[in-house]
Amino acid sequence: MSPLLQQFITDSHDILERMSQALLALEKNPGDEGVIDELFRAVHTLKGNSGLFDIPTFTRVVHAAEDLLDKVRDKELSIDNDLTDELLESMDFIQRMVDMVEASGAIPDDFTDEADARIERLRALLPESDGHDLVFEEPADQVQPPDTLDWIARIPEAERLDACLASGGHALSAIRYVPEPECFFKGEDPLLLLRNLPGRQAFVISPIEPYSAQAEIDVYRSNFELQALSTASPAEIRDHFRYMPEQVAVYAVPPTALAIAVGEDLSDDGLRDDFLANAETLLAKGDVALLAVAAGAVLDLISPDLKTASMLRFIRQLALAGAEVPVLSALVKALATGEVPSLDIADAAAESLQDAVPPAAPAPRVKSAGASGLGRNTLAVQIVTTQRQLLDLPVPPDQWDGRLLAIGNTLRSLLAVQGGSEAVGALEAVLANCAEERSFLSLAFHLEALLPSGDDDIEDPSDSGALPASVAVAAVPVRSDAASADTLGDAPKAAAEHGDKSARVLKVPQEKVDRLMDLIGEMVVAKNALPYLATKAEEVYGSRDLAREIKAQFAVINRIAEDMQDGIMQVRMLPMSSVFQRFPRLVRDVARQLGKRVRLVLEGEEAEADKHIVESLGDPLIHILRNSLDHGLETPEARRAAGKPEEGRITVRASQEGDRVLIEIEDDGKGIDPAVIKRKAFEKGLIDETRLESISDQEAIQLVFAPGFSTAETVSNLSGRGVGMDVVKNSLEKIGGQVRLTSEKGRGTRIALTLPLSVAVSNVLMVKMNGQRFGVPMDVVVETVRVPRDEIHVIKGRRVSVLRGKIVPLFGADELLSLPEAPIANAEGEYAVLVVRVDGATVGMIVDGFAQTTDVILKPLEGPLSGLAGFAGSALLGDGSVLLVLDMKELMNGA
Amino acid sequence: MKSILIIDDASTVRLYHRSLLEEAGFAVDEAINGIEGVEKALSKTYDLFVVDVNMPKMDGYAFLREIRKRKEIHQAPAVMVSTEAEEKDRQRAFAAGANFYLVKPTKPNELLEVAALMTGGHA
Amino acid sequence: MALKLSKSKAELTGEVVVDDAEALYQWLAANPKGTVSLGKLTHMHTAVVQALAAAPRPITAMPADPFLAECLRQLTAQQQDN
Repeated sequence: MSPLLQQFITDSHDILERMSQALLALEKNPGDEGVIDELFRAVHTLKGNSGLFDIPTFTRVVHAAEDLLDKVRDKELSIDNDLTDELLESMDFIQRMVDMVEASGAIPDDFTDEADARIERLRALLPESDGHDLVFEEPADQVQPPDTLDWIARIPEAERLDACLASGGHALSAIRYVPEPECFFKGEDPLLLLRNLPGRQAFVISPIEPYSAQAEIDVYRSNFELQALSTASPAEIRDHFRYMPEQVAVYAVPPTALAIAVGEDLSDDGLRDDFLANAETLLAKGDVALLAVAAGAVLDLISPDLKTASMLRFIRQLALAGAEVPVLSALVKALATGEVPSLDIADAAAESLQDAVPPAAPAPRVKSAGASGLGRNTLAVQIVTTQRQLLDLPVPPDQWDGRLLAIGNTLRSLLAVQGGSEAVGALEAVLANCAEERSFLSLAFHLEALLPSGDDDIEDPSDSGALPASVAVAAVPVRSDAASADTLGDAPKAAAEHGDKSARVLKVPQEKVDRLMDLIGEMVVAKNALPYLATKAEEVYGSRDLAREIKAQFAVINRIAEDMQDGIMQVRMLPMSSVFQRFPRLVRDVARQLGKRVRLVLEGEEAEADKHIVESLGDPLIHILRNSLDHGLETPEARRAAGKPEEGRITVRASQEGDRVLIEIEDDGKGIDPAVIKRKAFEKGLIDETRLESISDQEAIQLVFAPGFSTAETVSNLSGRGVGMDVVKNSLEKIGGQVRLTSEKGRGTRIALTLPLSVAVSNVLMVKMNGQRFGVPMDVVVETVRVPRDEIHVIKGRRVSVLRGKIVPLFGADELLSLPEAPIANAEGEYAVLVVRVDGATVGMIVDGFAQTTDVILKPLEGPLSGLAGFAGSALLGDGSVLLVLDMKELMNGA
Repeated sequence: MKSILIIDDASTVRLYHRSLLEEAGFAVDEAINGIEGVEKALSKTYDLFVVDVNMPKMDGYAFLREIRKRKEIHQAPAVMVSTEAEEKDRQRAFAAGANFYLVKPTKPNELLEVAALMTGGHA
Repeated sequence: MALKLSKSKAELTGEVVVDDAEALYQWLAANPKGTVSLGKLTHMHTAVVQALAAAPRPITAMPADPFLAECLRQLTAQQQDN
């Protein structure tokens, strides 16, 4: 590090220290002008110093803070607690940036967003004097994204195809760069910036004012507008343009926007229709690879100049690039309708639609709770259609949230009127998903499903989700190319083709399924009261006949309840794809950030498991993937040096094995080095010297599961807390899963998870202790014994007994559960011992007594109790009481 | 009661829209240009914005862009009202942050129905 | 060196910087029948491109670099539109 930079860092530390002291002094004494002045000068110096280095982000944040303090100095803003808090927080933020500069000499690209947010917060505190001084963030020259994506049509097809391939089926970044006219005098060369744009794909350069129209041309006055596509992330791009952010707009473009088919509209001899029929099936199966082949086959047969051929080229290219089914479906739909694709429903000019509106369909049959009726209200449909179109328009990043909220609010209000509470509930879930994923995609699909798609629904009313076609209404076109009457003819046909041809499907809101499951759960537990009653009838009331009848009826009810249990579990089965679908994006983004090239292969996404299991898999799998990306896969250079292909590979494979689901995550990275693990474990005190010597390589690798173990040198911001495998293992075990890890240094790592297919009913044994009952899962119980007092020995302060020839350590349930009273022996001086097997060891727990076994549905502890160790969950008993079920493994580990 | 903010520099238009909407039961406020509109939106939560395009000091597009950027303003739906019926004007409105577009002069039923649908019920 | 101007031909080689743009433009204005050769061009400043865009001439040799070639292709296409 240069001495100058070192000096800067030292100075910055000092300045920040002085500033925080000054701020605190100021809070106590808000009027102290001397302190205010000192504060301002400190920030001012910090800003000035930072200007010497290439850290414009840093300078901007400090500048925003300086502006604020300037207003305080001018008495336009008063120091109150809120302002002090904000400034203190901002100083922590600046401190973080100083640390970053110290660590790596620069501020990372992906930090710019955070910095911008911080600047906004600071600016928001600036005073507004009179209305006309409202601080508007948009100086007249901030370049906006273009209003439409028409410029993309000017890119030759070959380049758009290349961009599709490079996109990998994901959205691309797009820029609109309008250099300010005098920028050459600042030493800027826009063309060079464009040339060096990271991830640059196709670009379009256009003069702002046509040259021929100008009388006097000044070649030193920039007259260009540059637009380009890139595979780089918006953060990287903004960093590239960090010296002129107001001249550049960065926004996202879906790959479908590139697929503008150009060519002649002549006949293709029905080959197109054949392809469409085939595509339908392939897409339903998710067979993208075959789709590419099918497209290729047709391309071989038809003239390359046809418009059909053009679209097929895009379909093929994106399929090969790894686009996902929804993207390809949109393109296939476009091929069918002849319209421009963009995940849009078939648009047509208002006039042609009005002429062709099919006769009003009968009132919608309420097919399922999920399908809400927009009904025949044309205006409602128009509004929803418009919202759908809004989702395709480019949006500047600082308006992204506002746009989603506004569209969400519009839809929410409308659906509250037209659709009912379920429709609103469904919408809320989708909006939450969008906010989390930072993508409009799921909302676009949701709206597509809500809007009428054609008149064929009249024939097949149980069709999935689409509304009856009472109105295929004046959908206002996004693009102004007037559609011909033909496209309208195609639209209903396309809709029919996309209609669900498989078994009748109902869309049911999740809450209903959950409610049903709870009820069935209660039933399962309630039925268990009947054997008690039978016993009671016989022993208390002396009626053996009645007892027998109760038992007989119980057998019937028991069978039915078990079938219901099974049935609802089937309903709750979800395919793995619902958790896998996040992975491609995650892997792409993280790989990019790390500068690694990774290919993700997903297999077996159709494998199903219970919803709870599938949903609980998300986080552990993501952690495993991140570990693989972070620590497993090497950089392209390292891989090349090791003689491996530059592109690393991660395979995630799901399959069903009997009553378990098997998921394997395998990478071809550098594997786990047993020597490193051994050393780390030793350093962390997890193993001692003797073990360090004796432990085998295989055993060493398993140490990654030990609590508190993490090989991350620095807690990377990607893996968050540098999550260790121990956390992953625990979360999986909580849902009844098991983890196995194998690795070969230099070759790769493989993690195999097995999980139960369904959340089963647990069989528990009830034990009594201190007047309370606790449940112990039967699958860990070995046996229940009565041990005479004199057979309990104390060795080294621990109680043991010899059971079946083995020494078994014993623990009182009072010790394990922190209960007040020790176990009580029975009349013969014998203690009740529950023998369990955990982690391969046999252990005994001394209790007061045993009760019966029963079937329960285990529910995890929630809320304030969820942190309690030693409990697997709680369950409702037949008599309405709550049983706490013990996690013997956790209890024993704590002993 | 749902509240609507009308932003238009023409007093007759404001009056016309206001009376229509108030009769239907909405609470209506007015602003004469984009700047006043932003000020009002900062101080009160509205359920709908009805925005004119051409206004001095700050036009409808700029108003919309400003609103959509500010997290402290409730992102109510916005209907842009304009004399222009061209597709490119609609596009511009949407690009700025409008959720719907009506051409002036508005038919009474149309404005009312849009307002009702976009605010969640007849006021 | 980068800009070689003769009676009938302007030859741009290597990197042509911002300062050369004005000279090139003057030459183009004064030689309406001149041609432009870019075969050995490796980079040109935006201002230079502007000069070429402002006063279109037949290009006798295109640059090898694909980026530059594409820029020129777009500019000539636009000139045809105009």
